[in-house]
Amino acid sequence: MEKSKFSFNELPRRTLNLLKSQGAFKTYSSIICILISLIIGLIFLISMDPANAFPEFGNMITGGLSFGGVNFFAIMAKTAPLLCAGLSIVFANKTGMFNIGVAGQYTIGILGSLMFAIQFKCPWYVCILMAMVFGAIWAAIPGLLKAFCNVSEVISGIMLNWIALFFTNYSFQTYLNSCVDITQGSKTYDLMMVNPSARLPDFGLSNATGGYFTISIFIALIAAILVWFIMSKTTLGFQLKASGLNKDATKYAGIKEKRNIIISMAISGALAALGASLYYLAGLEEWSVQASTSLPQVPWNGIVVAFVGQLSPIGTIFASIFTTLISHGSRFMLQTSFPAEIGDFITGLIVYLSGLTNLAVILVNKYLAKRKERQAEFALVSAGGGETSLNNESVINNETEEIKNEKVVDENLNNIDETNKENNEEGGNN
Amino acid sequence: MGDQFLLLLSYMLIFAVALMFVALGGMFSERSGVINIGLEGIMVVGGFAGLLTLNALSEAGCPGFITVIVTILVAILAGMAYSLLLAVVCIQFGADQTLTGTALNLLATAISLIFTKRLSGGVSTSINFSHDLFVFKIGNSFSFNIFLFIGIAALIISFIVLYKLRFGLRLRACGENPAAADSVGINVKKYRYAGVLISGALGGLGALAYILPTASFWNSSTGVAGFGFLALAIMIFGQWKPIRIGVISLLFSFFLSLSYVYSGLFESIFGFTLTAENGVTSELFRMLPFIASLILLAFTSKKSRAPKAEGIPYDKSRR
Repeated sequence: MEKSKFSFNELPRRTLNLLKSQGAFKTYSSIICILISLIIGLIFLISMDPANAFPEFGNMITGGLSFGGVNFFAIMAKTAPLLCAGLSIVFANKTGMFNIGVAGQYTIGILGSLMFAIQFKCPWYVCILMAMVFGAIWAAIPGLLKAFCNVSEVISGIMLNWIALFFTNYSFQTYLNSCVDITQGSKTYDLMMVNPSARLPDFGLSNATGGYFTISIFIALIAAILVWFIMSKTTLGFQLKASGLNKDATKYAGIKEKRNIIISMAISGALAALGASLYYLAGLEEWSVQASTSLPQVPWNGIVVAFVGQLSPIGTIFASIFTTLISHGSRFMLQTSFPAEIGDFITGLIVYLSGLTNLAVILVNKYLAKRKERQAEFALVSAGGGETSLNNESVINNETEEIKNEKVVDENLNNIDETNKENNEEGGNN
Repeated sequence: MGDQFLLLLSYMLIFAVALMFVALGGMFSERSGVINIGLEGIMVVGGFAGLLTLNALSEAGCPGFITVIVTILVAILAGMAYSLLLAVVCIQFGADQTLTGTALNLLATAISLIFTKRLSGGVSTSINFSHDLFVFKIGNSFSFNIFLFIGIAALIISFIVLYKLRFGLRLRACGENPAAADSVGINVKKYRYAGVLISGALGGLGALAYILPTASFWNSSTGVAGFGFLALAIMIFGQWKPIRIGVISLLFSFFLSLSYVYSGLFESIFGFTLTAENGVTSELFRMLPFIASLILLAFTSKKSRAPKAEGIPYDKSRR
């Protein structure tokens, strides 16, 4: 009986190229990261309570979908802010900035949206817009400091995170204290009670979906597509990416790199604040002044999804859905044995490992390059040792091979010197 | 009035010592060329391990002296073990130091929450403990703790290690110009490991110095309330120099202590209370050190004395 065998190399050429492209390697490494993290998470669960580990693990990775359709809408509602936070990181990263200040911009976004929703009784779109303006201004500070004072955006971002948290709490304690309901444990008022127009539209589906359905997920998806569009189809995006790749070259080409840094940070901050308003204007939670002694978790998870999504807007969409699935699902585990923070533990692990994904890509590339080199060398040797320059590494690696021609050796030494010089210059520019 | 000042002073000493430990830790790490954003997470893990040990030992009825020493040692070891996570991926594999540090912070909070919840059967996120062994009270309002002495010793030792010993010179060389250090036969990776491990040890110690004297319970969802990040600010303010870091820690802890005692202090001096209606809350004072360091950064960053090679993984083949 004839059996059709599957062979990898018989796939159509375009499919093969796609599967072997750089982007595909990145996707593989993300997936491997996620799998390793899940396995470690599972081992963690088994070590805590072996009897219940497997079914509860299942509950977690399905996001509790077996507990009713409401969870689907809950996951969508929680994905939206996370996606925006992730996009914020992605956008800044394209300009070569690590926007660790996303937590502060998110917190300021909370302040902006709740201030205009509860204090000034504005409709939802005004609240979102104002939150984005707040976030943009807040993020422009590290941008300005980076552009004009050469302050690392990581350090100033960290400072601004905590300033934002204390400032938000300070605001709700003093000049915005009418927004806070003292009787409810000093949380801000429920939007439905004080200003229903500030709640995101739900087309009357709110009750059917447990209060979770709003248009937030659509806004977030539009934001993702917009980010993709700006990055890959507009002049602004090209300029931003260029100054991320080589600051000096872009300056030479006449692109205003200082302006670009500030714009990129401002847009990034606006995205983070958009995420905050999508969370708080959807009525998922109220800001608690007393309990907010540390920064909110969502923007930190934004860093996770951005890196798991390999810093692409589309990848971030899938990564944020997956992360929300886990963190939502972890609430459905048996809480006496498995606290809900196991979800956070796994996402933390993913981002820890994703620091290593680039390493995997580099290693694979190095291996491929070395193989190619060896083949070239082989061809060279069999051709009788022509005067072609071998590079630095192959000389070191092939100490056993005798190179007969002294002229070649001299040339190689010169080459090594030159590459060294180049490297030093590169290092100096960095 | 005198009482209020003594209270302020004792708070200041607590916070200054704790912040100084962590800032010195950050200094060692950055001087060797590794940015340690994960200090906050290292503190959480170190402090958590220390507290568990303290509770276990006091339940077992261990003598006080041994309890104190073992608790401190466990916190130091836990901090070092956790910082090893950063060291291995950043030094050995050249991963992004900022990203890994952030991951450590996320993981630390999750781990400490999971274990505190497990210990209490999924109900509470806080641990109770007794700090009588560590804190000495004099009179009604002044108290000091054992970490004060350790802190002064640590400051002096740090200074000597960094500037007077061969180890310190080599460590600084690895942070300034690892290629040059390597060319004269210094093992850059080894010194960077040492830098990160020292920061882990001091981070764990600093966490105990912060958690133990201030309260009789620790809430793991609060963690260490941004102390690791504040310590980073102090380190930058202090321009990566031990003595300056010691002085700046005192200054920062003054603001921080004010956020706890401002109302009583103000009342005893001027005779009326500051409340939220006057526009003053404790958050205002907690904001000040961060704002101050941001402004300072803006003015001094151009002539900053930051280690030149910090944040750049050392790759021998690119020398």
